[in-house]
Amino acid sequence: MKPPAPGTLLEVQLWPRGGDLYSTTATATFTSPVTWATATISAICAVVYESVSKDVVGVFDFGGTVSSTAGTFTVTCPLLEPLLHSFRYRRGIMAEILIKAVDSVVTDEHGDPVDPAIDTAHSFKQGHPVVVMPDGHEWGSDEGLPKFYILKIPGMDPTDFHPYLAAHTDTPVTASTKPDGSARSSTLCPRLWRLDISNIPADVKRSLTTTGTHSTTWESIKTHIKNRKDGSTAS
Amino acid sequence: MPTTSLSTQFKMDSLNGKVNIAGTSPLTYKMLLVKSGASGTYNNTLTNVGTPGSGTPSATNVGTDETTGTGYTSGGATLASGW
Repeated sequence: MKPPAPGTLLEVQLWPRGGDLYSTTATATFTSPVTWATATISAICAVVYESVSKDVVGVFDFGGTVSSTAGTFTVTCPLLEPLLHSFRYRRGIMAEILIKAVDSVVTDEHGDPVDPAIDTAHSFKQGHPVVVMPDGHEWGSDEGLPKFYILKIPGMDPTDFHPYLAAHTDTPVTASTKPDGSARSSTLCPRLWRLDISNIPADVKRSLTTTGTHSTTWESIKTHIKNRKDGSTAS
Repeated sequence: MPTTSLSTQFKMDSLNGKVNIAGTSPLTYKMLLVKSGASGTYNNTLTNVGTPGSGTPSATNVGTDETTGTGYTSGGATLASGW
């Protein structure tokens, strides 16, 4: 990102809807300092916000109380460049998780459904995480709606999600062993963990079902990732 | 004590494409001031300014923490911007 021009108050680089996170950018540049003329006021910080939604962009600390008495109160708050660099750096670490949007079904040679237990053991269902990839992975044309969702978690190392890609296998209850002597187990389901699509927040569900993707934090989504064996949630 | 920071919600909204700055009706941004002795928390957790000048300060309302004084209008000043 190029340094802000002299006199620039605030420069924010944003990523338009559906745009590539790195190559498609738009820049908002506020070029005038903010002043209040003939003002008798004091303040400790400024808050920049969008005028209609009232949503906050950022907070700018003055480092103490700043006052004016019947004079011009001028705000030349710190440029956000260091913050944006920090934000961008953290965004470089991001897990992108491919999640089944619909159930797959195993059928026999006639196209008829098979035994439900067999189907469960061999087919991915809605909410199952299929694979996790790092930020910037180029997903295939089929890896999106209507078959898949992509859940993006900025700041999460993809390897941290690997435990949630484990299959649900049974605990051996017989003496059955493999030729090498290890215990034999069978797969009950391709995935032990599942994103509970039916109970995720409405805005998350809306984003996934309309755009096919959603960015969130691990803290906010982990409680919706459920263990099919014991009902626990991800940690 | 305030902490200079981008709003976490703003970051998430921008990642989710909810910050529409490319439309035919560019968004307007404003800056308000927070008084000394403010009771609210001013850092990346502030998501909305609510009704400046009115109400209990919280993460969704600057409320009575907004500065008052001669020459200052509630809601602050509009930022001149270029897109």
